[in-house]
Amino acid sequence: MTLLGETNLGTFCDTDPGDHSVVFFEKSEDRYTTLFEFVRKGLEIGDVVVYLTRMNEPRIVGLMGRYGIEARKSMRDGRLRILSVLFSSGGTHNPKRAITIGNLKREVSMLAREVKGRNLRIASSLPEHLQTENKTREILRLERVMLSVAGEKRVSILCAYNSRRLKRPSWFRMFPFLTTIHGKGAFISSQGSVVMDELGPPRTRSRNEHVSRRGRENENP
Amino acid sequence: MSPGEDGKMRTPNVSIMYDTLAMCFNEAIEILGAGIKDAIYYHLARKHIQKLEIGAKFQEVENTLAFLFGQGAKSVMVLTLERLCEQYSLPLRLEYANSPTERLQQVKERILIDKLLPKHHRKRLDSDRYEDKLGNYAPWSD
Repeated sequence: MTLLGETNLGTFCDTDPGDHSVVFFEKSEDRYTTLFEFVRKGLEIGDVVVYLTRMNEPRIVGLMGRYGIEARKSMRDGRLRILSVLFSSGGTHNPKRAITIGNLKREVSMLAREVKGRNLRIASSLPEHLQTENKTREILRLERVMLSVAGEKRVSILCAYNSRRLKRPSWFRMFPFLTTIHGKGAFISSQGSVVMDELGPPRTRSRNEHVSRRGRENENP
Repeated sequence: MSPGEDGKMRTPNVSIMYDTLAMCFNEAIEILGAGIKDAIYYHLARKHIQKLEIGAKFQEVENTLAFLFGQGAKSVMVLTLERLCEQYSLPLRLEYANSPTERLQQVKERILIDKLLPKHHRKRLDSDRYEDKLGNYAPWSD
């Protein structure tokens, strides 16, 4: 256990391929500080980074710029991709072109093949958007996709959740799933912050088994 | 002067310790965030553990934390223990035990054997004595 500060935020974002981490934040600045640090670190060490969001690309590029990430340049070099999930990049609904949670795994697998030899990082702010819309089932689907991607490919993943949105019994019931499906977690609040290096049960079985052991009754909390 | 002479019974040390433990636990989980704190209390309530019983049923609280955070529950234990030691001015010294749970047990025994009182309780007693103009002896002494 470590207390998260500016110095060890970098350490938390220093992930290995196969890591599936989570950050719970209260303030939106903390979301960007962590996710963009994860992106920045990845770009720094030569990983290919994918940013999953529901916001449009120019907005994310602008935000990244504020945090010192040269997003446009990295995108031109093919080292950064911003994927708008559920909606097409133009903002209008276009089911044929849209990347949805259903086809996200295929999309990421294709990317992983394209970046042969290099590691892939996925920073995802999607959970927060799904929280806003109270789509618990979609989050379960998304997390399962992320977990299987992290298990199969050389991919490290960081998911961001807004802990202020955990305010209904349905979210409370889902909370153990949200924590223990991840390997590492950071909790940031106005009172301080904590990093838990090992979430979930001791690693005596593979992560995919961990998911499949969850019965059908746990799928829809 | 015996504790009961003025007609007031002093709160037993064990219940003060349990209250303090519950308070420290609350402070520890507050760091995780307000929503997460609510989620923890929700799951504790599902296991029939009310906020006031946290100190007395700490073993069950630990099990609930393990269900919520897996191995990460240790972090919450350490934070709680850290605050408890601070309240009783005891060294944290996690290396004295094999696990935070074991260290917590040691600290609890030490508190009860040495009849220690937490800082927050001493402060409250001090101010009560001051207000009653009865501050002629240390309120935490027998």
